Amino acid sequence: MHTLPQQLANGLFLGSMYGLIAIGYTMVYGIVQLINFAHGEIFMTGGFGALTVYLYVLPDGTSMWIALPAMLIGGGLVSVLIAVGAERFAYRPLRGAPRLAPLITAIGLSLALQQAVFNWYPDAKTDRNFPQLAFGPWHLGSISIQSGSVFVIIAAPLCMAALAFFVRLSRTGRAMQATAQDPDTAQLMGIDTNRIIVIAFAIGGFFAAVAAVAYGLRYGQIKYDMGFQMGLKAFTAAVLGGIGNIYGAMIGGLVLGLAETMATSYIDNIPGMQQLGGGGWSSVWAFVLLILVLLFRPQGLVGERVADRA
Amino acid sequence: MRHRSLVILTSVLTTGALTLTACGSRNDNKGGGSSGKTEVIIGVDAPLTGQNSATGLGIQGGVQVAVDDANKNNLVPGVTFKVQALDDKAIPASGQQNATQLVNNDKVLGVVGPLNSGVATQMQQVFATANLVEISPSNTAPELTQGKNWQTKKVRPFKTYFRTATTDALQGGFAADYAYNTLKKKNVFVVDDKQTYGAGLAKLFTAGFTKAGGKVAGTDHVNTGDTDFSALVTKIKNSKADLVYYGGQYDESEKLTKQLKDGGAKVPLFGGDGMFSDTYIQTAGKTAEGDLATSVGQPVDTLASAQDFIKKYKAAGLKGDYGTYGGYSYDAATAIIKAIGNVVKDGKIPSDARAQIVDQVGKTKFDGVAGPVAFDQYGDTTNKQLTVYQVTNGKWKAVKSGTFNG
Amino acid sequence: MSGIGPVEPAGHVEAHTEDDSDARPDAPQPDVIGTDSPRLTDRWHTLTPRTRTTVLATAAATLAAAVWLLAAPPPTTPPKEPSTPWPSTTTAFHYKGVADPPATASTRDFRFDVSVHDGPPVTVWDINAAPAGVHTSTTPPTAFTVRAGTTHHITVRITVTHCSGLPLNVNLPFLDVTLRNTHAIQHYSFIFGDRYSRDLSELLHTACDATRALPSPHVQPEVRVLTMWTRRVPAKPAESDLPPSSPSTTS
Repeated sequence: MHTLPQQLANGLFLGSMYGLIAIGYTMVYGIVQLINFAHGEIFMTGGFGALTVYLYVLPDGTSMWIALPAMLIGGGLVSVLIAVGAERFAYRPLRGAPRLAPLITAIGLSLALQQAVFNWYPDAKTDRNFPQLAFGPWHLGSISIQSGSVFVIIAAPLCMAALAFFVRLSRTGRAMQATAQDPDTAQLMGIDTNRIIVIAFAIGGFFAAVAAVAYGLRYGQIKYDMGFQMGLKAFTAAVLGGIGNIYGAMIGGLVLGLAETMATSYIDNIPGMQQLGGGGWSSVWAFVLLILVLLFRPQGLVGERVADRA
Repeated sequence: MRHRSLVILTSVLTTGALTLTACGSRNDNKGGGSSGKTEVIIGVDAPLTGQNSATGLGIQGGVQVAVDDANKNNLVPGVTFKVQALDDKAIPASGQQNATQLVNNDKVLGVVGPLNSGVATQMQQVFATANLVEISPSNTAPELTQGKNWQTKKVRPFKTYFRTATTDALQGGFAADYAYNTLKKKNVFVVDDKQTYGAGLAKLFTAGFTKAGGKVAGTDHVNTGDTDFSALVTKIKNSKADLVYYGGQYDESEKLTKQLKDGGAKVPLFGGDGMFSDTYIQTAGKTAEGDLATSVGQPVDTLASAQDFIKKYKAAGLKGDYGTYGGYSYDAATAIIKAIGNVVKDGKIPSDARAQIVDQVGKTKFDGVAGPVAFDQYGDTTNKQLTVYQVTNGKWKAVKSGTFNG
Repeated sequence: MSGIGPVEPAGHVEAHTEDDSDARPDAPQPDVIGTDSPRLTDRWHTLTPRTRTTVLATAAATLAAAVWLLAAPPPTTPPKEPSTPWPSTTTAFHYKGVADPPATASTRDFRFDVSVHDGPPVTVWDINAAPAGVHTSTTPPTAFTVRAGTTHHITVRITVTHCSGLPLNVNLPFLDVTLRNTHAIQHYSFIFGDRYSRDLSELLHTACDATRALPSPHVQPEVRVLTMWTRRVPAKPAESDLPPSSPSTTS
């Protein structure tokens, strides 16, 4: 069991990434009750945006300390533009339509984005290598932290804290809460709900781009279809935490990441469970956890049934 | 005045264009491209995008070079060969669809592929029903040629299936021997990707390794497409294994080795031919140093015949890793082309051409770019060579080569 | 270029890009109303005669160069002499069986045929039966030379010197050989299947079982070495999962 601290850390890194993406699902759902299934692809395009900045905008051999902020901005810009564009041109015209219409649109958009990157981004038909931070693993007691994970453990809490302050304290943040609770009344009170919705999409897009950069740094490669699996996991995380609740998204992400890690490491040590443990089963256990949580708390871990969703 | 210069410009361009077309047509004639020739298609099925595509494109390229050579040298009089390459994305169901598509095209008289053993299992029946010959340059799962119970009783399941690569029965054993006797590793952690190829190879390696006296420190499985192996890495580190064996493709192992070394486990990763790809080193970078892979065949730089092939491959500007299966793909395509040459005379394709070609491929015997090409009664290659490679200074370096003599 | 190009729509402002300017020269010029950018031909006329000459000359020179390059016969690479093959590609070892009744329990003679089927003569510099703990000697002693088309019968005497760490069951035993021809010196392995592995395992067991009390029974000569796999590996290797603690299943 002395591997536990390391495994907890592993789960934390993975979960932070899920959480960052889950924010996008949960904010959009909280405000317009739309499950934006294209969000996984927004995450993916953020990664490619950052890669584009590194490969084609910055001069060769730029230090990662300079490149990383530029990549974040570039990736963020791409993700935000696509997220906002999707809202403006795909979802807004369908705002009054039956629930199913925007959902199908989201799935279609997801496929379109994936195929667009697949076909038109140079050499994206297979994995593309992502620039790496060039410092070795750090050791903290029995825990070793890879260079790629350092970014996510710094970026995720920062992003979350910033978002929490923004939603709680800023005027726009309060307007978001109001819109989430009752869009019609909010509009009557003089809130430009369209603007609020755009902001929600933009924040989700930016967080997804941060997650994509974290993904690239951590795994060394990005791929046109990486949004599918990560998007699905992040959506699970959002539901697990209580969809519509931004704290829920982060907590759901962490719980999911930890659950996967624990399933990989410890299930097969339980007598009689050897066949059901290990890396190949980690997703299965994550979803078992989801089902269990939803059985007893359909609103998710920290979700509340109706009010105060944003 | 205005018209005149336009005329000059136009005529200059027209002359240029005509000259170019003239060149083109003369080249065509040299290649025997005059009309009245029968077009025959050599099908290719391999992953051309996504997972495994680096080695998959190497297969397509190898076949392309073989077909270009055949056309240039007019190997089969009256026939022009074409390549039709289909992408199976390493998904068995796509492979089966592609097989159906190839079978339904009358011009297709032979198929090279697929890359993955798991895909092959879904394609064999389709080809067998249509009597269409299929030669895989890379499938290594023993049951494809020798039946499910190949350890006890070898039965050839499909008479249309051949392969130029040797089997994992040999590869797994060779790797196990190298790991135990040469590397002096005694404690291995075995990981596989649950696919036909990966799981089969890992099992055969484990069998050989434990038989020699080694111990298995632990086992685990991953999913293809997985990217996060941090939990697995912690497990491996904790198991005190001195070697990690991975049964699967480079797509996962390149990430696994990176996370393994970054995670502080300084043990080499050992894999099979699915891992023997330049992409592996490019992706894993320095962390790949010291990792090992067995691959089918001899290293290309020891084969004089392969040098010419590599030159042509590069000259044609083809993509992909020719180093892994390119030579074998060339030989597989050439075997089919030679068989077609024995069946199709003066461009006339007999009605039972496909069946005749299967017979001819079975009897094939020639010196290919990757060594002598001939098939035994199961459709397996008789040229059973293996090489252990190790990443040294960012390159795969052959550290041990061997030939199996029954 | 036959001169048949796309019909230019009248009034299309950008109709005369460089690509289109080679359209049929005698075709009536379309009426262009309200052209606001100078057309290529107009631009051409605004150039000084000297520039025009230069441009035309350059174009002609480029074209001539292109034609020359394309029309020139491809550099005829002389038909490459089939370069000397590496020794391992021309040499074959075949196992012929155990030679004589063993002199001692720890020594046995194995007969092999060495043949070279092609190329220059190959010198066998060294033959070594891989595992540590055995000593190898050959008759005729190395180095000996095998000419193309000939076969040498050799005997490899393997003596077990110490048993610790020696794997008694070998699946794919091989001879590590150093080969040399005019091209290269090569270290190469020749791997042998059932028969040699059975015979070698038998020797190792005879030599070592006395000193190393093995819990497992002797390998019977008629038991093929591969049986271990047959027993342990289920019929469908791909779909079954061995429990992770594999050593117990294969001990």
